[in-house]
Amino acid sequence: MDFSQRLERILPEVQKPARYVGGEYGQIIKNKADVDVRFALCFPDIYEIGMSNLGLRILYGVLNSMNGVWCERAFEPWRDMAAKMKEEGIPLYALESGDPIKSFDIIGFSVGYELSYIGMLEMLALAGLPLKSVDRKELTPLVFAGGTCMFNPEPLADFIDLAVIGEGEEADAQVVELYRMAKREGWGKARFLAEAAGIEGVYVPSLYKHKYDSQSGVLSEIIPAAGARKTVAKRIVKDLDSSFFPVETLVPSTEIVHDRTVLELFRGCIRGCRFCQAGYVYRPVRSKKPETLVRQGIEALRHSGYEEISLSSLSTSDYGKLAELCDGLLNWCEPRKASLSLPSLRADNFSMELMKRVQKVRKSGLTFAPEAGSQRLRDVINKNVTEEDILNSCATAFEGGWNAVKLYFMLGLPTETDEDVLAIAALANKVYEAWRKASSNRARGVRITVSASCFVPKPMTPFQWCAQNAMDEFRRKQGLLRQALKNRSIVFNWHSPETSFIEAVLALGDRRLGPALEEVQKSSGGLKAWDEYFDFKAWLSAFEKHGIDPGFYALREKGESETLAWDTLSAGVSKAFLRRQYELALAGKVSPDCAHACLGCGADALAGGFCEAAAEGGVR
Amino acid sequence: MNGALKFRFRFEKTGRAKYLSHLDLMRTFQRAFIRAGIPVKHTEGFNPHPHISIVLPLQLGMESVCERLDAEIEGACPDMAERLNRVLPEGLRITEAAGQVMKPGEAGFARYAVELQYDGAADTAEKAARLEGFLKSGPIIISKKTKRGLAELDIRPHITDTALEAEAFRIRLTALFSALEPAVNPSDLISALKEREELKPDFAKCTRLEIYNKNKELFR
Repeated sequence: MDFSQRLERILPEVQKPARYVGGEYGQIIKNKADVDVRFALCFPDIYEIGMSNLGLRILYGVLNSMNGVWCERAFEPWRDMAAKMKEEGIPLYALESGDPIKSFDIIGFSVGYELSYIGMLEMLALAGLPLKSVDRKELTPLVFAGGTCMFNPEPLADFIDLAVIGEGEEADAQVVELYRMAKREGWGKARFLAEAAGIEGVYVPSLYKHKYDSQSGVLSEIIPAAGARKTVAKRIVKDLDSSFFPVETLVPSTEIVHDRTVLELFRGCIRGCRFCQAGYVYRPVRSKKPETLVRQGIEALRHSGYEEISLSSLSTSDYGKLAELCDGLLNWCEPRKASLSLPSLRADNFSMELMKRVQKVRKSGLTFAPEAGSQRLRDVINKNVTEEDILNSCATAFEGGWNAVKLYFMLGLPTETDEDVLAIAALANKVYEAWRKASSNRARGVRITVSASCFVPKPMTPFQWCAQNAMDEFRRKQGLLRQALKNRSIVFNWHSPETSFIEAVLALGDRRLGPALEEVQKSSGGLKAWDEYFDFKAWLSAFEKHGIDPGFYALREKGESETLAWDTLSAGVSKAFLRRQYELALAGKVSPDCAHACLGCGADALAGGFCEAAAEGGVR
Repeated sequence: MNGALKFRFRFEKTGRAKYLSHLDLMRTFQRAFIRAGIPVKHTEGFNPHPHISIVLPLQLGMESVCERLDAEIEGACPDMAERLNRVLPEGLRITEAAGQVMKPGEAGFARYAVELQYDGAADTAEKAARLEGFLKSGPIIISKKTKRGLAELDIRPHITDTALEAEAFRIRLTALFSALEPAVNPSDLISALKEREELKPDFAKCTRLEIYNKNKELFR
């Protein structure tokens, strides 16, 4: 029986087979005779998550726009499918052609969440490829990774041949072109990697030797091979207006998580919240013109048949011409019964007015992220929102008929005391009081959801030196807060400290974690971002087996002069700037946002010394 | 609303599209109508959605060359089949756009082709003879989920007009299945076959060939 017949026999036996077959409207099919580079764009989570990722759709479009390159997709299968594939000897295949990705030229992973590292290894295993870079001796297939997690790719250093740091739309294309030349001229893998390391934004882990202090185990030195750069700076797209945007995109036939057209207003953020990795690693701020966005939004809606469009950015309220943009989109959307949604708004009055305008019919929930309960701690993390802002916004919303509010907080932020924890409950109670005063219909009741996650220090942020709270400490604080939230209209959700601990180990880890990751994949399988398959015990026993103390990475405050595992890489923001911000945080001092004062983070150098936030006083 | 016309589209659901669930299919068609610029009438009310429905939803995993989709279209719209076919995903293809002659509830029978695969049987003639006997004699009792829980049902009288073809490693069966009161599917027959060691297929593929009304006239 051939591969497709065996596949046909297992598909009726798995849940939601539509996610394993491709064939969607907008998929790209090319004639194999015209193709010399087969590219498998892989996402280490299930179809429904991966297809919701705008970055993946951009790269799919960019790569397929290249002559002779056919980019296809592969996602991590759910457990039932993975088990059937192993049983029947069906290797991981690409959705468009159904061909096994093992025989592709390039396998590129988009990695945006630390817990999906195991999913990436699981996909390589399902493909029938050796997990380790050194065990894949030939040039083909080349395995690389990109995405936000690549600002510290060290835990994956054993497995990937190279990483693309920063935005991939230009760098990935260069990697593909270089590969094409290497294939044509018969280069070996070593020569290719040495040449690839010359592409801006490309990091080849095997070209760097990490040395550790034999006593403390702390990284003492990173030694680049001859010819390798000391620092690899991330890539950015300088002009977003002219950059590729997929107006003709895939429309999944089966339901995915974010099933709508997404417009990206700008990259970067002017706010400088000190815990937020995205806020630092995507600098400098670069926006699209409203006319570009309106045109792309209408074209994308028309082409896809979607009836909802969502505006995406790190802080949508900061987009200077937001009202103009919304008007332009609504003029087209309203007569066609399409809706516009605006996530990531700040808790200010202007935003509330806008919310009222766009949400004419349905009043879904509102979400605010104060992150910390007390003003003192909000100052530490530089979250420049006041209690007054939050309460006023909530009151406006309640007057307007909303009756559900979600409040997001983090526990375990640097310098947090029990007073700060209890301030979360106090704030939630004040929101309840605001509802009592402002609600236009009290009989309907109100639902206030307080979500408390566990803070995970991230590389390339001012908190990269911080120790995470121990799991017991998180549990104690959760208990404290739960007791203080007695009001029945307030629902309390909290995150598992175990998950956040592993997240921190992986985010802050180094290449010594490799054997443990391989162990977890072998003993426990993928889908680690899913509670039911997270399997804390498997992680702990893998660390133990390989002599790794996970607390060394997550729970230890790092010294100011310590070499950090990701020091070879640069997001454009200087380490000195991050350190200064950390010290200001510890002193409880806020910094102005980039629209009000340039603090000299250094990221403007990536755009030839230009920063929109400094030049235009914000996001244009 | 004035001017809305009721249409019945005949379409194929083959290849990879056979894995689309009923809900997937509805969603896919809603978007395809928008892409094709064909204005479908929306329901009134708080959460308006387009007025489209499938006459006799097909089981997931089956192919069909005779599906029917009903839609109310605002105003006249030329070349609807061609326009839709340009924007439908692989495996979905409109073969006809016509008016609605019969009511959806009048669909009473459907003809299916069932390919029963026997990996070990290079010659299936004997199996085919047994299968023929099985289909013609005695009751074929299956347990079916009803609103009141599991119930036993003899599906034999509801599978008629059967024809068999024995080939190497497979038997092709075509038959007319009752689609309403009771609704009997090829999957019911296949699960009955799985109970019998000598007729148990290694795999079965089904294709719906045609839909008829209660008088076995073509469903239009």
